[in-house]
Amino acid sequence: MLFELLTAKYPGMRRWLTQRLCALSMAVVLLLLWLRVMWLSPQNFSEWQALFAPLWWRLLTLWFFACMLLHAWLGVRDVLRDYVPHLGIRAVLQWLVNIAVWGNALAVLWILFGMDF
Amino acid sequence: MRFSIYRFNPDVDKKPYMQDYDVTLEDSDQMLLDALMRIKELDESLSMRKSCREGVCGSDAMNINGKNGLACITKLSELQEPVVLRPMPGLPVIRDLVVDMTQFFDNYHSVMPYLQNHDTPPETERLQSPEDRAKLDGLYECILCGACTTSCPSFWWNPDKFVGPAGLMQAYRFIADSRDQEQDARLENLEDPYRLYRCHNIMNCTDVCPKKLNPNAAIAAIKDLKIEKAKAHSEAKPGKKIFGIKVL
Repeated sequence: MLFELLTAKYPGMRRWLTQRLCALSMAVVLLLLWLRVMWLSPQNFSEWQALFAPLWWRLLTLWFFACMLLHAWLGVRDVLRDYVPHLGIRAVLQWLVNIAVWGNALAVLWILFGMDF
Repeated sequence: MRFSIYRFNPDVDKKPYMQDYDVTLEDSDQMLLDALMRIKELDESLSMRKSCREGVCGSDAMNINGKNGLACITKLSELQEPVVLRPMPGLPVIRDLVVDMTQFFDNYHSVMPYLQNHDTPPETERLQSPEDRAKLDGLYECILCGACTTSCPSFWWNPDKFVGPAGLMQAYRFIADSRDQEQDARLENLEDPYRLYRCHNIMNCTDVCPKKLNPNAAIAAIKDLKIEKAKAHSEAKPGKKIFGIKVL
């Protein structure tokens, strides 16, 4: 049912629901992070590093950031469409936002999978 | 009492300006509309709408100290001086406090705000159960003053695309009506990125409604109903199953 709501058949619902699902995903991951920090009580750098070391946790963290960036991209796109009526200026700003989003995504990827844990 | 009122006469003025008035009020002057009538005695060129003077017609909606409301039910004793009066934002000004509400009513008409029932009309009225009738409470009381819609930034930026809180609440008033037979068409009519989904739930509409209604709740109810309808539609048709779970 959710898959159908995220198709082009529901153009309004798709964007609205995507943003809400992203927010819900982030809330769940943040709750898990809080529980994990409570459980492991990391006290120093190496313990914090160990907390993020397992592959499943890094994948979950990647999912969190993917949701956050998609949520932010949809929101900022709406703001630009509302507040920047000039098409040229809006296009430039949207490209800057796109670059920032992809830049952040690559940085997250590099931190999570390009560094030694 | 001191007032600062937005003035603009397109036949004479090149741009709008604020005009100050000092008015001596009588004991019987309780509401803002009473004070405005005193001001009109001093300056009959001031233009504004008014009619019922008791919060029923919605004619005298205006921006009062930065917040939309009805002059006739706004108590003078609760207003900070100088009382700054402006026309409702987001609509073209015709003159002074009078705005052109054509766009507002175009949006209202776009939701088909009338009962659509294709059955032969009964001899008496179409009956509803008390439970079904109760679903319309908090919806039908809207007086279409425009205070909510003109408080909404989504309407300011997309007046021709976003229906606005008043129109959406009236859409839900008929969607929720058990006598109406066009619920699916009404929901379909709101399915694009702007008409319904441009609402970002900032709740200015609910904050300013002079009838204490909650357009935001009606908008949320429409979204919930659209999800329920899609769910029912999905369950009704044969779909692909993976490991026994229906995925499409």
